[in-house]
Amino acid sequence: MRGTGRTGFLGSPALPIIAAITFLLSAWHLLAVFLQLAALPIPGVAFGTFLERITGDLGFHLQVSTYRVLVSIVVSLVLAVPLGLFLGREPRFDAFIAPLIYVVYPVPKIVFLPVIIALFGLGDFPKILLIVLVIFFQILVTTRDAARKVDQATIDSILSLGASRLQVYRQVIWPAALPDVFTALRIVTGTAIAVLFISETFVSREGLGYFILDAWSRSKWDEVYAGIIAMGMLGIVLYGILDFLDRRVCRWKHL
Amino acid sequence: MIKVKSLSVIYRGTNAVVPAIRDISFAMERGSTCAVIGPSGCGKTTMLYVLAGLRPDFEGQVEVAEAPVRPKRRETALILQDYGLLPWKTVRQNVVLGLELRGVGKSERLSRCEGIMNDLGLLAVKNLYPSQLSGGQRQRVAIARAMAVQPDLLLMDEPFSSLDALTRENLQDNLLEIWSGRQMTVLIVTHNIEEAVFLGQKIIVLSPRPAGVLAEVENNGVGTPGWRSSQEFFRVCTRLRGMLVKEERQLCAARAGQGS
Repeated sequence: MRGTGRTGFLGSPALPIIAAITFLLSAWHLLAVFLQLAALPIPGVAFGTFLERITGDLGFHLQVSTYRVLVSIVVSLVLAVPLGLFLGREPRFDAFIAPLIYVVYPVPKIVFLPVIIALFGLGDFPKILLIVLVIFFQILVTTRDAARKVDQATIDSILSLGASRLQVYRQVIWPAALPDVFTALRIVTGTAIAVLFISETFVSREGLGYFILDAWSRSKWDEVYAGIIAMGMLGIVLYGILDFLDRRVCRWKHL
Repeated sequence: MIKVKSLSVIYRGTNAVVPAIRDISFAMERGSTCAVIGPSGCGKTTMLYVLAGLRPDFEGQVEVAEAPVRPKRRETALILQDYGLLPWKTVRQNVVLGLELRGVGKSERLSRCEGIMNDLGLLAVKNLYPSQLSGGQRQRVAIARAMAVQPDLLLMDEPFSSLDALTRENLQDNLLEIWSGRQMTVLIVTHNIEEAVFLGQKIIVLSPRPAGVLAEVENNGVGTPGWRSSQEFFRVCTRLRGMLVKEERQLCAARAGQGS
């Protein structure tokens, strides 16, 4: 992998991945042996429970959580990216919208969880809504700033070739912003999983958040860690998808 | 082909109003070449933007092909200093871009671009991205992209300024070949004296900002064999250099006078 391209774990050779996982597990194991706490079982036990349960109820909760996170990210993307591109290139609208964004962006959306549940119940929708509320702004602001810094000379050359306004967006602004959209996606993926966890621990019967909290309340530590491992898997799958898409779509960045 | 009469452009910044071009007039015949030479930052690029229809806020009359200049005239091609290639498109995708924007079908736009890519030696690199090319190759891609839409007017801004001497001369030769094979008017903006004399049948010397026409030099040897090494070529270069040096001296003297 030469050049300035970012490399993800899918593109990198297997050895560093194995080394990283070995390091993580060894550290965990040593810490568990050293501390001798019930709340920190050795990785062997946790993985045993994980393998045993993943084909059953844990697998089901993982599915539910994956679905919620994926839908939230896709919905946020579809809403935030076009708006971000537009605001980045139309300063007159941005001047009006930007203050609104800056007021709403830092508000901790988690506090609305009880309101959202009161309004929309306990299904998937309120959880997805909460995640979207949080990550929408992160994608919006990143995309807008990326669209803003597009080189005017590039746009002028396209205009001189006869491009319409829409074609400028499609041929220049959107592809120029794409690498930054992927960066935003990497960041919001972590955020989305964290918000999902909280939303699933609050009057919920499904999802990894519920699984972990339920095991915790019963002091079943091996199950808690099996749930945490499942969450790690969820992260790995999502980052894998992102790296795969990035490599395909932003090919010119990975030369 | 081009008729410019009393063209003036004023930059209106947020806290300053700067005249960029003052009262420029000149004309160009269809199928001829013209080089505009002058010091850096004298408003040459601004003039090119006006001719390309990308700057509507000028005063005076500007006609392109017997009609007032307008944006998106399809037969005008513009090549900017940094080439304006799209980094996310391969060489071939960049070259066909003009045709794509015009809605030409995929197979037709590819077949229409084969020829020009071949002429410019780009077929071997057609699947590479601009960042994988040398400066000279990138400039060839920019020329091919401009040629693909079959323009009758080509506007170029300092096209070869960042290239080494040999590559530059090579591309200048290429440009003349392309020009002589078509009914195309070429206006090239440069600060390189040899380039202006090699390419411009007419050379317009501009004064520093605000740009005005200092002199118009007829230069009819352009395109004749051995032009670059002829006596006449060097004579015109020397004459042009004399004008620019004199202009520079006057400017320095004026500045010194202001300072005291």
